[in-house]
Amino acid sequence: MSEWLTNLDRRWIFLAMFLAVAIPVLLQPELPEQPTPIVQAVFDKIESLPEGSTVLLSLDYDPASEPELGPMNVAFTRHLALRGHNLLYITLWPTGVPMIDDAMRVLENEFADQYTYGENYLNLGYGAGQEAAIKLIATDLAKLFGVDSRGRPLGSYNAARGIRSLQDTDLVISIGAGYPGTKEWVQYAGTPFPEIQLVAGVTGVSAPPQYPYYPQQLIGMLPAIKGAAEYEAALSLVYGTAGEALPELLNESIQAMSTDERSEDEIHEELQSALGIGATQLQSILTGRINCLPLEQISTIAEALALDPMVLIEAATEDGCDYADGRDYPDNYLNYGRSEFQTALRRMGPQLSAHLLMLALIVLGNLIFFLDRRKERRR
Amino acid sequence: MKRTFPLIIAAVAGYVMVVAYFMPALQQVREDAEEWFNILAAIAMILGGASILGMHLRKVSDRRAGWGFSVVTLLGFLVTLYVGLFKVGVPPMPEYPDRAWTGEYIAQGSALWWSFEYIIYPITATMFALLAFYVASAAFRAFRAKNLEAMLLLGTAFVILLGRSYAGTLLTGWYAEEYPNLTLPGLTDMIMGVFNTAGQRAVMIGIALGIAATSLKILLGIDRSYLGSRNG
Repeated sequence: MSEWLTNLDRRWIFLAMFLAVAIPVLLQPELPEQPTPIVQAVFDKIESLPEGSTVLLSLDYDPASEPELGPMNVAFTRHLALRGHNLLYITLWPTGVPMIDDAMRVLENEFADQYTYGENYLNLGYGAGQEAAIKLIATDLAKLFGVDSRGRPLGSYNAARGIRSLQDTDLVISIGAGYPGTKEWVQYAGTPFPEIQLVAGVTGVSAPPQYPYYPQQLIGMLPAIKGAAEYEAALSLVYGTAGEALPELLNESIQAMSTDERSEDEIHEELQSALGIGATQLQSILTGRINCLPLEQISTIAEALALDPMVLIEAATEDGCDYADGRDYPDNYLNYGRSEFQTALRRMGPQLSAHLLMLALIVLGNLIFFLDRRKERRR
Repeated sequence: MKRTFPLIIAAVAGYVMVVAYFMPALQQVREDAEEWFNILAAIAMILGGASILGMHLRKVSDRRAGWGFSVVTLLGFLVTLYVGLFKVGVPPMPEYPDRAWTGEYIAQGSALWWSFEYIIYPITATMFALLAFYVASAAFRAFRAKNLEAMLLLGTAFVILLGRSYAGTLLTGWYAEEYPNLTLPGLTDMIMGVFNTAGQRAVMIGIALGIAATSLKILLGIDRSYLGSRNG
């Protein structure tokens, strides 16, 4: 046995690693995460910015690091949009341009009603020059990004109004996989210009060198996929309204109202027309994907389904929505507690089994090593 | 002249940056120099492209070992350059529907977008993902507790690998309220925040001193290796 293990064909190890990753990917286990202080600091910083602040996101990574850093990009974009901030996207990596498109898609799909290109967000594209690019835009943004990715002057957009340099932004978020990345942002933007507030998201391998910058030069940091998962957990604690009371109540009422003459589909159509929304958005409400509805929509639904609006509000409150003190929600408030919005959290399953396999291999390798050594000594 | 002129340019640019850092009156000069650097960086990309082209063309022409890979590289390079420069398949902007080249060069549906999405994306992601297999193999064959240093490294690896996954919470979460710093995630934070930070700072200070020394040698013209091997 010991000899077989000593001469183990490494293809068995490859197979074990493949299964360790593939099985959790297929089973999608849900593992809970709690934000650690270094991640919570980033979340709190974004929460503390007044609505309408300008945040610059530098997406300095390529497809190789996308599985690790992509969820951070998406989570930051969602959080910033939920808070109503203006977003400027740049990349210092030539292969980073499509990463900006990922963020654009989130804004176009989830915040189409509130966010308009040019008015609330801009894609400034790629800037050549690595750290020199950072130094340049720290004092004059237009010298490197005079026009956006569509070729129009920056001054023609409201999203960049009043932003002459990085020093005029309220926060800079560096999502970096290497050089140029977070380290350069700290050295050439955050440190020489203390008014530039900096937070970061980095890959697992590049996280250790960034720790000395926290908490002075970096307000907070998302280290690796775990950091992204913790951030998603923080987002879901505040913006996720896990629960099914409201969708259950709505579906039950629709079912009760349906007759041979008036089918459920017809009631759905009536609701769509009363609310002025499409079939997809209604489906999102009935499945709980959109959970906290605006009070106006609650009244309309109550009227259409002959229900007391207070009953609907109570069900929504049971799901975690908060209507106290006149609080209301936009009409496409998505439930960020749902797993479809938690890419990083879903990736923690494969990460756990891969880590456990690595540990098992280290233990097994050492066991064989010591057994062999004992045998040699006996001889 | 071929050697002296670049040396003078490097020295003058270097001194300007150093002096301007301490004299606010020269801030504009410094910004101009930085702008020049960005222009040069963009031109360097063109030079880099030309260099790759020349190198692989020579390799193919000489039929050196692996010249077939150079053909693939050249094809990839030229096709990407062509579809990117000439905006092949780029849809026009909605505001100017009858003007073909108004769209973004990497707009969805364009040839460049297609090659990125379906060639570059999977290739680079696959290459990176392959690391997991080799690291697992190395963990089994090379990570041995042969001496005290290796044992310390192994112990740290255990704590970090467990602490950075749900296993850490699962194994030590039951006493997290009483002794949060002694849980695996707590120990991971301590290793990263104390031992790692101390080590990284030492490395950083060492690197910074090295950079300062090398920069000084370049400014004084002692180190000329950046001009190429023949000028060293």
